[in-house]
Amino acid sequence: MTAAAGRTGAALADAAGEAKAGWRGVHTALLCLFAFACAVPWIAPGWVHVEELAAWLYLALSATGLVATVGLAGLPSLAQGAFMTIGALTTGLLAARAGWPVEATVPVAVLASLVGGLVAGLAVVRLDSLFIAVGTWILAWLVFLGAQAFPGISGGAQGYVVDSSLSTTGHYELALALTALAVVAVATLRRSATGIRLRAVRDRPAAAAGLGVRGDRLLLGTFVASAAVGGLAGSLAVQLAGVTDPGAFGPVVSFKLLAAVLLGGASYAVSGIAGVAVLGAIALLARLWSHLQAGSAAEVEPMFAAVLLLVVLALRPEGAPLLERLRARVVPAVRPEPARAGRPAAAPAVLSARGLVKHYGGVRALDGFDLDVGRGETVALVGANGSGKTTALRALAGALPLDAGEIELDGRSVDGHGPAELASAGVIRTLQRTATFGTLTALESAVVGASLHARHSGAFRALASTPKSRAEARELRAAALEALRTVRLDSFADVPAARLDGFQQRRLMLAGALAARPRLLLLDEPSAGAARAEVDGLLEILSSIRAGGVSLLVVEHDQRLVRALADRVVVMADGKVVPG
Amino acid sequence: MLKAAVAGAVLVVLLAGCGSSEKSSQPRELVIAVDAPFSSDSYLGTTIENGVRLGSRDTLLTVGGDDYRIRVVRYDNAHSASRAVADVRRAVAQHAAAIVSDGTGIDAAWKIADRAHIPIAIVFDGGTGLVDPAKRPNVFRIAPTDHGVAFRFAEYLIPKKLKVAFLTDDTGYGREGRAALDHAFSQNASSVAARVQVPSTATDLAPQILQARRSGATALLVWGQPSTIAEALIAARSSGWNVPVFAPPSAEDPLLRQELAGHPEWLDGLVFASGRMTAEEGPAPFMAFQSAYEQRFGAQQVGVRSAAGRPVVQPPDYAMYPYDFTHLLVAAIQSAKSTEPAKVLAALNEVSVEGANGDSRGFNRINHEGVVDDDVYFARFQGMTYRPVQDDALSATLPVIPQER
Repeated sequence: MTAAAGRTGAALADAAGEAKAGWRGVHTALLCLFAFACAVPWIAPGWVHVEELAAWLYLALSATGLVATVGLAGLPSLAQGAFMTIGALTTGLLAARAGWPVEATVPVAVLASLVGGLVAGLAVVRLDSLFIAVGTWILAWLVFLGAQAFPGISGGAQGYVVDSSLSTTGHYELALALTALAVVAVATLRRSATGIRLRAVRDRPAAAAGLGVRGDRLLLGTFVASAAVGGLAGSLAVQLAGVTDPGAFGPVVSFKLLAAVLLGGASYAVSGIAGVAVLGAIALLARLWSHLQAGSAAEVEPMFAAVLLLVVLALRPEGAPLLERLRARVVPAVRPEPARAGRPAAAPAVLSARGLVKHYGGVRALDGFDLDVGRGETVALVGANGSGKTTALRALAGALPLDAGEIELDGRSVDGHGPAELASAGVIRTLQRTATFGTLTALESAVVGASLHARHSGAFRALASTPKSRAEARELRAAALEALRTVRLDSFADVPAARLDGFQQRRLMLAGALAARPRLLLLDEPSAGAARAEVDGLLEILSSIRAGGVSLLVVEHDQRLVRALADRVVVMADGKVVPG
Repeated sequence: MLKAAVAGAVLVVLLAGCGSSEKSSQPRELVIAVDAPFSSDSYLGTTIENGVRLGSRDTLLTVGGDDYRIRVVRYDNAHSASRAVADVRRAVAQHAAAIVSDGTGIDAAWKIADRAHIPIAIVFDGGTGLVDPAKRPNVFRIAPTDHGVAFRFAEYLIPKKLKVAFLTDDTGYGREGRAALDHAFSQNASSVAARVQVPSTATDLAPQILQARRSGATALLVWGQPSTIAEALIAARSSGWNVPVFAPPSAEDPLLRQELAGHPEWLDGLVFASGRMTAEEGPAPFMAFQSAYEQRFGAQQVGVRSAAGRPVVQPPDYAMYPYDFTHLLVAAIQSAKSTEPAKVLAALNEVSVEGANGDSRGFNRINHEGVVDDDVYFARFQGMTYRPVQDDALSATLPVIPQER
């Protein structure tokens, strides 16, 4: 007991030390702002309606949940209002019809929204952005129309009366606290290994998959979590409103929430709050306009929001640049610790492929392809364009379902294994085209690979900032920096990948793969587009990797690099190995 | 130095004392909050607001030695219950003397106003259960009830041996109307050929009209928004079905006539029920009210022309109710000799005034309905204007209110 208390105390002291070390002026300013916001109900002048502020804060809470889906995962969801509706109606039904205490309805409302998010997420997260937007927009309308069509669920025109045990001020303080917590959670998630992998999937799904990231699971988990936050906001907002109303969080609110997130810059933890603050200002303007024009604010407010959103999107599709500039100014670059010698090198892999066949319609891209890569061996795969080299590499990495043939890794069949499973087994592939994660820094890009074997960096542990997750985060960053050092990009650790030149980006891809501790590295034309001097540099890098005991299978056109690097050269033609 | 400071302080106190003993030259304000669907039903919202403004026109109350003027503050509920509740909260925060509402969100809002002893007057929604003096002591209504309209329809249609198809839309208005009709016709179930619910957003009701026709209906009773009534008429008439069509008070909304402007003959014969505009003593009081209304706000142009080619105007009958309530509120304040909400609320149960149509309006502790159920009459459209029907005892006695300019 005493030992456990001692360990807990040490962990807390460690966490406090880390927080202190990372504390900046901007954090003090945010804390002061939060304290001021807490005091608003007592110090605000009479014309400030605390109830309206609380309602806006619940919207901000929902928007902050949406930041994870839109900003981090890159899913343009227009269904957040629908999840708020589900949460609100669940609370209304249970409180007004079943007689539950309103407080007890909140977890059920969150669960209902979570289930709704899971069902919707399973249907949409695999789709392209456009179809995600359309699909979630349809969902928003379905929930809205469904609530209207069944007055037994929504309470009809008069709604169900929901009596809250909290005062208006209580709701305000609760909404403020939850929104602040949500912001901290999103900020923590964003910096965590899970958040970095999520952003990698958003930027380059195929490249992330090559580094073993299970994109679908991450996207679905994020979508569901956002839905749950929406449900929480809806459940509490309906308690504040005092009545269920199917139109309260209809499609227009879904649109406004997405607009808020985009207006706020999309990928920052405070994007939701910032965007909702902009929408609040628009609402005030609309009210002023309606007073001047004797019209209705409800008619012009969505129009103002839409116009502003269009302007922002036209100027910068990723969102408002202001926050990015501010962040660059006030948040210093992350300096990871040097690598520790704690990560044991994995044994190189032995690969064997027999009779691989892959048809594309009438074209036989692979036609009985056989290949062996020995332990620690470097094999170069060469051949004319269209001979099937990249197809073979994709098949060996599990990225392509085969029509026939068998692949063994270390003597065990890996048939049916996808890229994530093979990556976990140590088979890492880099893509032929340059595919870096544009919005991630070089260090974060390498962390995507390093986190392949993370054990304590899941979303929940990261959100709780457990001692193990913090320790592992340090290790991952150290390993990522080591990989950058290997490819000579360590001085660019804090530079966004999109700002690196073409050859640096190719090396960054290699760093991501190296950070994943590969046993067999499948490289698809690593020197593509490189100048002669750059190829020399690449050769040195690849030689050092080979010297580290990693098996290499390299598809390459540069004969000089092939001769200097390969232990064995395999020639392909018409989808098979040319004998001899 | 000390002497100078004391003298200054005394001077300040004396000046302040002088100021406080002097009666303020500016009258204080009494707020009446109008909560109506301005954005979703402009005609209804504006009519209610104008009624309150006309009722409070030039009113200068002297209570407890202070002068009061009435200020009207409008809130748009857009037919949303949650917005209506938020509006009522804001009205309470503004210490409103009363809230005049179309009826949206009253189930949730009345308690909030009741805690501050602020009366709510419903001046459009006739929904059953909204008004209950025992449970909701601060809720009053001056408008025909759904119950009254539905029973008058039963009384009017059943003797005609018509087989009626109910066509109700999915709005709160339509659903409540359907419930009231079911109740009113429950003793004569054989008079009802079909009950069809239609989406309020539908732009083609041909399938539902066909369903009603195939049920053997010889009359249609369409209870819904004006656009629903218009779509039902379009679908029936364009298919050649000249069935008699009946409708609730929403048929008065100019929107219906505007939607049928291209086929005025399709509107001819439509019979609707509404609260009667004129009292036993004749049309003079209402005409005076209409004149005052039009002088202040202009005539309510419908936007169509009559059979004679003259512009049609809508009589401001739905402005009567907020107008009458405003007068009742003023009378209650004068009777209570106070603007204290609890006293005004109590006094509202005791006062009565002469309404815009000459009827006596007032409430008591057990009845908060300002329009009795029997006060519903029927009118028939012809050439974009309407006149009371002759085959109903009450309606036949009523004068025609001119609607052409």
